[in-house]
Amino acid sequence: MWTLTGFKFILAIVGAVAGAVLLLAILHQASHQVKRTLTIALTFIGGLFYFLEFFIPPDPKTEEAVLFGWSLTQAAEVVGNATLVIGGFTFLLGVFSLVHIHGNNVRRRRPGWSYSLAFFAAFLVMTVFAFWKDWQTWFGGPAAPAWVNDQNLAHAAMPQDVYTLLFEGLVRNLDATMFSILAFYIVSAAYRAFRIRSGEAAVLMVVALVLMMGQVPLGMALTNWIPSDGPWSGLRIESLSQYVLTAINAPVQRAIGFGLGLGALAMAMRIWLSLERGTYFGQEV
Amino acid sequence: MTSPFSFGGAVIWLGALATLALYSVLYRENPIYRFAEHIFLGLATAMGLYMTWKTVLYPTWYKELVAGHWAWILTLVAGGMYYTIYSKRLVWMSRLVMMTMMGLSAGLGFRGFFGTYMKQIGASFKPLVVMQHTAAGGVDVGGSVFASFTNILFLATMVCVMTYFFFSFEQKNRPIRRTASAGRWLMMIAFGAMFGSTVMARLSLFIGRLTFLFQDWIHLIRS
Amino acid sequence: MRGQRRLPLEQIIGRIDRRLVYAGLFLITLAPLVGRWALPLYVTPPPKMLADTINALPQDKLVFISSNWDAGTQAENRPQMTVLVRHLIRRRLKFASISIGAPNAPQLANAAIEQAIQLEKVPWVYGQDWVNLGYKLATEPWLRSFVRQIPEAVKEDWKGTPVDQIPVMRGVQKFGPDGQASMLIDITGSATIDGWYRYLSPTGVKLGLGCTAVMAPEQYPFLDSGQLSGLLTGMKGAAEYEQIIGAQGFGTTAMAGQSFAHLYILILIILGNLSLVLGWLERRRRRR
Repeated sequence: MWTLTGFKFILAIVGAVAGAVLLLAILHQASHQVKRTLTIALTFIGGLFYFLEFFIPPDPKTEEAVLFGWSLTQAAEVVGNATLVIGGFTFLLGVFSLVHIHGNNVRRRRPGWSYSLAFFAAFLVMTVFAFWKDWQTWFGGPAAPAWVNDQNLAHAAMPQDVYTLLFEGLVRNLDATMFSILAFYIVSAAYRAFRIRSGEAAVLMVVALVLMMGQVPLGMALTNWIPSDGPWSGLRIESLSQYVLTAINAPVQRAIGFGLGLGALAMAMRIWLSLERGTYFGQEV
Repeated sequence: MTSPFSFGGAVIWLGALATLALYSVLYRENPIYRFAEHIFLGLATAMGLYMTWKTVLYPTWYKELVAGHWAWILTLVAGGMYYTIYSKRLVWMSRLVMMTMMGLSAGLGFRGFFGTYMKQIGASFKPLVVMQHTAAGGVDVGGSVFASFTNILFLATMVCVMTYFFFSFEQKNRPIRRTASAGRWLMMIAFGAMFGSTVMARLSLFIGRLTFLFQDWIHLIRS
Repeated sequence: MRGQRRLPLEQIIGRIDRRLVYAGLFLITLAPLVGRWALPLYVTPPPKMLADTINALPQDKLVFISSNWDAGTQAENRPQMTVLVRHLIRRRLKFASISIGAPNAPQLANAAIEQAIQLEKVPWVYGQDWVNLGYKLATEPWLRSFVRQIPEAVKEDWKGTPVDQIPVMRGVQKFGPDGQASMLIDITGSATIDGWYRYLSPTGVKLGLGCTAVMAPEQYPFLDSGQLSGLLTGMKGAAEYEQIIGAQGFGTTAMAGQSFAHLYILILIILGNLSLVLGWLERRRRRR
């Protein structure tokens, strides 16, 4: 029933889409209260599914959570894949938004519209060459030429095609450089903004300096006259910085983690039971 | 310097020029930087699209569908419901699908909490008095005192910071106020450690770029 | 020159043009790299713990490397990946690389692994001794399925070869003492380790981590609770690990540059604060 071929398959596809659209059309006519109740019910059922799947003790043989002979663990895999796919479809939402903004820039000749053109050019070139490269694998048809999909084993480390040129030459380097620019900004901030104006700031700075020097060879050289295995070894800068990380930083992080974890758990409960209020929760839909 | 007249060379040259274009912003905002920035945005968006299809939709959706599993078409309908966010009349559909997803995530939250934090709760019960022994079998007094002090410090720090984040009632009681205040100071130590680590991380990324420019491109750094 | 007012000292040291500050950083970091100044590095316990854990792994079980870094953090994660793979090869431990954090990661992981094999100069054959399982989107259900039954979650390698046709993956069903996978090492530039904590940690499997330095302080509670069996902190972690296994690489070379850059920042912080103190003294003097 779940696997069909040929005409039956096409019929099932058309029927499923038509049925879903019809159902949505009927619901569209329903009152706000009905829609809201339905939303609350689906949210609850969604949460309940994984809740039960986690709390029902697994069968010792199969290691699966079973409810009335129905394996929740196996069902969870299908549900998981479905959510993955639904999430995948939403990626276009972001693309749509970017295209909309840059399209408007070009159409209205806003200042800097030529940069928006550069965005479109890069987007189109990469989309075309990336999809063309794998088109045959996915959908069949003629093989892409070597300059689009280089399959020469001698070039396995770096295929000589347009996609690799764009990815290795531009994407990888632009990405790495964007991140690395932060080094300059952090240096500038350390110089301009890292001023001791309170006791707390002083503590923060002293620890930061100990950490910075305790993590690099030059800093370690400052205290390497202290024997590394004697009773005073704890005073070496690298030992101090390690001690700060394990004896003070670790419990602070753990306490913050507990706070975050409990907060997330409480939030999950509120969402699950539709107790949360706000744009997606309490307002009329 | 690497020659640009081979495929590998062209890749390195392209990368070096892109790197310099982005670094030009350090001097001042300029058209070359803005151009490179938009090229990056375009390429990254296209890569996202390609990777979403290649790693998610093709293996998990398209392959299932062409294998005859027709019900997978319903995920397209559910995904499509997200797009009604742009319509005032149909926006309820996007909320329906979003809330269902959030319900599922909330259900998973229980597992997330227990999986991540149960061991941590157990590990927080540290012995306050630790006895360490020397190789000869005697008590290592110095080591024992130090280990005990470390455990006490660990626990005290945790309690102080947790008290600081205790918002369920007003912190009127003096000992609680003091404990919370100590928690704030101890947090400053951890934030100092985080700042030091952040500096290290950012500089590592810059060193990575320097190595690319001066080792792979112009061979000033010997490999 | 007469008539030209001399700038007070606090203004000179407190208002250095940012471009000069940048140029200073550039030169001070580059010089040690060009000069290949080698500085001795002290090995801290977290990388040592990781090396000890790997040294104690059984040779008949597979090690998983969860390679979750991309170009943005390659300077920190790539040397970690290379040195860890070198250690695994030296110990003759077969491994599988799988990426859950970044779609580009398998390509970058592959290059790092190839480099490690080249540096070790031993025949380490793809499919026989190691495999790249590509990118999987780490949703909660996928993670759960991966921990429970590896073949259910991973059906093919990154080139599309079914896993049952890959010798190194044959018979690999699950993690744990009665499983065929002994450990997972996450090398990451994002929060992928959280997923492994949630799902892998409760099974008691050894979990190692190589992360960016930004993330490291948050991981110490997990090291303390035993959920982590070792930790590499950014480029420094890679350099320490290179020292542990006696394999000099990028990490060791880069630490000299890192050292001088840290010293430079320290001087800048002092200068910034000195100007603050001088300004304060000057204002107090004027008030009097």
